[in-house]
Amino acid sequence: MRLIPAICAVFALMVSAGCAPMVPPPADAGPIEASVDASPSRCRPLSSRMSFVLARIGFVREDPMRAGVADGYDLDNRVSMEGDVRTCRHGDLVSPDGHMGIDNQLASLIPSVDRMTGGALDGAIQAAINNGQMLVVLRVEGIDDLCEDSEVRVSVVRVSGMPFVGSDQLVDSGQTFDLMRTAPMTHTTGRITGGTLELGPVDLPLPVAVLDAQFVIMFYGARLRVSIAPDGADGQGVIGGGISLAEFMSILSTLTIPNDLRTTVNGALTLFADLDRDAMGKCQRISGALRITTRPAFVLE
Amino acid sequence: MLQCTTLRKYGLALTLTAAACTPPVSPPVDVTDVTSVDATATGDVAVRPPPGPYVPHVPRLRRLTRSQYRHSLQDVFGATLVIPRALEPDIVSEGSSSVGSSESSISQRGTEQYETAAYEIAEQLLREPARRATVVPCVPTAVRDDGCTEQVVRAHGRRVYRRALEASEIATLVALGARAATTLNSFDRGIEYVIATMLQSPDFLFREELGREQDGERRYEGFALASRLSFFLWDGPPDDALLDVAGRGELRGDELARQVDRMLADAKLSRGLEAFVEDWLRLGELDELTRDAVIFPAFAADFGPSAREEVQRVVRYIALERDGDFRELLRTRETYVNRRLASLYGVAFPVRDAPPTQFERVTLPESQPRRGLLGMAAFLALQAHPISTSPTLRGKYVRELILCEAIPAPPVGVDTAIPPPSSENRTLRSRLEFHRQASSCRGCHRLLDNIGLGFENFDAIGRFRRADNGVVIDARGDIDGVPYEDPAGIAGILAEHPSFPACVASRLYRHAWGYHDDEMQRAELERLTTSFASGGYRLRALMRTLVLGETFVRAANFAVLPLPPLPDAGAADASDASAARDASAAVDVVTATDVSDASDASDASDVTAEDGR
Repeated sequence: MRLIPAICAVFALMVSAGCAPMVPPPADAGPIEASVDASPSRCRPLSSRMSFVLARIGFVREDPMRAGVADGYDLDNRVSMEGDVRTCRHGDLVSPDGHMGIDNQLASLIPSVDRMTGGALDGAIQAAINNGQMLVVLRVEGIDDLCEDSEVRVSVVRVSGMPFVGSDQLVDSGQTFDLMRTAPMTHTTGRITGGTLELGPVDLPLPVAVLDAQFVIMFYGARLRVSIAPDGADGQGVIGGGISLAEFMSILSTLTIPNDLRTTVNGALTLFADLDRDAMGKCQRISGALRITTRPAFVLE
Repeated sequence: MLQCTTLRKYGLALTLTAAACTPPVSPPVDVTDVTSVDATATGDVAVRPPPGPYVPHVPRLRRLTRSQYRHSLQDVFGATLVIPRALEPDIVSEGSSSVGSSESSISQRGTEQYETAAYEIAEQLLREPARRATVVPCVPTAVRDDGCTEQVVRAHGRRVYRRALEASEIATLVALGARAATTLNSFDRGIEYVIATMLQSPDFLFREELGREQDGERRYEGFALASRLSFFLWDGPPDDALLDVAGRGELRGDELARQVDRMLADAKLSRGLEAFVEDWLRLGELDELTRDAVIFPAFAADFGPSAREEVQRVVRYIALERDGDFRELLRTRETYVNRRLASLYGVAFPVRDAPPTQFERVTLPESQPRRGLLGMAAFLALQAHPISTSPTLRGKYVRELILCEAIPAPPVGVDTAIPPPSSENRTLRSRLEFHRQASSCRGCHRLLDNIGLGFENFDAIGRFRRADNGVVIDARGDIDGVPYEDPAGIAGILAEHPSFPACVASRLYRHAWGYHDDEMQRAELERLTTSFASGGYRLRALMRTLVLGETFVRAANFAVLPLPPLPDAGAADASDASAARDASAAVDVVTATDVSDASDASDASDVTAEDGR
């Protein structure tokens, strides 16, 4: 049973990093007024800068009722069938709304992890968020219009603080956190389309702090898409990208986890890797996607 | 009208007679006629006939509120004194604990709680050597040392009773201490009994502000006036300086003004202000605030206390720190928040690593419609239901507490239920339309909902929202014909509404007197309102005007009713002796046989070596 926390840590780290754009948010994800409020004032930002804390982060899993269906992004801009050598013979998935070419091999792997850990993985991540250990904020600046804005500046930063957690077991919205200047930050540009923030592809280093593991993991070619709620309602979205197996195993080597688990993880990731095929025909990265819930927040510089 | 409570310890009995229980004399007010309510809602006082001559109130005994009890003890014995929490609760009458304090006695349970608290405090005072030294200013030479005991009584008796003690009272307490010390073989235990006795005395638990008869009226002077001043301005007892002046009979004229100005400049003024605000705005109800955790996941146990603290801090800031226009309370964008409230209001908390209890002043963004008191959680959350907002409650609060208008209760038998959401009526505004159309409801609901619906942009915990049940909220409306677009507009209208300063003056007067003001005091209320306006709506100045006004020292005369039969002859004798202290006083402290006879130390049935209590 001691393996369970270790497994959670291993995959939680992968999670936290995730960041590739993607698939439209689920149908119930949008802010409640989005479908009813078409007034121009809805798009008027209260401030040109808004911040959103990632209040929930969880792995996207393959739909248990529909094989091959999962949210994610087409990271390699191609639709691959099973046996495609350019994806190390892994076929792409299909998004719930029918988009082809979804690269998200972790979606097939995570259910196995769930079986090994009794479903503790998401709980470990949520606990890390709720106790302030893993607070990540999206800062969006230069907002002229919350509905359509061709260019906004986006930063992904790590913050600290002891958050208030509501009875929904998520960090309350509107809280103020302190910027962790020493943590890696990503600065990029994005756009707002139809009230949804989109960014990427960008290489996105994401800080991970779950249980006693703390590290930074790079999401290559990451994309992000999340709805923006002007009046404090939750934003829903997905981030996705490719994780380097070598970097991941390097991180694993620094963690206090059993060797046999390390070997198992290495084997599994190698088996599921589907991106960045090298000259030897081996894929160096594995695709993944995370579902996120954002809530408005403030960041003290 | 007779209320009687017996303080069990030593058989002390307190009889409160007529004056304590006389209901306020007020003409009947017809609040059932919607037409008359409409008239009051206009805020137009000019159409009313000129007020008649001021008719003073009949004095009442006022039981110390819990905060006054706490302040009284901490002022006398030190701020670090831990005050027991299990005490008789404050009685709220017509929404006011100040009025309730003048209409309530002490229950049997409360008597026991005061007794327990008195002994806990007395024991606490003598436990630590350093504190004991401040309580016992002498070194006893024996287990029984009447001289030293008398020094203790003289050192604290005046502050505790808020007046000079008479020789007979001192002798009684010294004799009590002597007997307890002898029986329990401990000087300190004797002192403990002395202190505990004083703290259970009606002279401590009640404000004996009855005035002295003069020319068919009563006038407050001396210690009674000092007590009235200090409990109003400081929510606590007079300090030594004020008692000295009162004791010399100099609390009048210029010296009275000097003392009032001194008190208004004292930090303790914030306590008096806090008590007034608590009473006026019914902040005590925040203690009971609950919300459905599923619908409002951000609601937490510290929500109510945080909301209460915010109101108090903003009022203190406007009225004391800035000494500014009190109408700013309704329209200011400045407020005090802790992390919890900052999160609720959607403003950044300006301090790093702040504990949840830390409050900071912030300025709400102009782009938000949240303004002043009516944008605070204390109003928005308190005037709502556990699972939904209530425009009716919010409107009623504004009408009654901000504009001081009388809103009648719903007619008997009327269905007050609001239809559930439907595809046609998704918002609360549309669902309430039913009440606004029904002939039996529309009179009041037009008054209430026209205001309350303007706050629909704030949910039942006060968080801003744009939509209700998926439909964009229409927060427009009007107050007595003046249109507004959003809650910020409401704040602006109410801040300029002529009824608001009049209402503040009225509530302050009510708080000072513990009485419902009525038509017979309208002349004084109009004087206060005029003064409030001419002074730039500064609350501190209004308080000064109130306490230095002639009416503050006037009271109606009253008849002393016969005392009820006493349990035995000894008690009757003691009653007579006590009554002689102030023949016209409506309170008699009746001491039982074993205590009243200071020379009789043989009957110590209530004090045993095994159980001093």
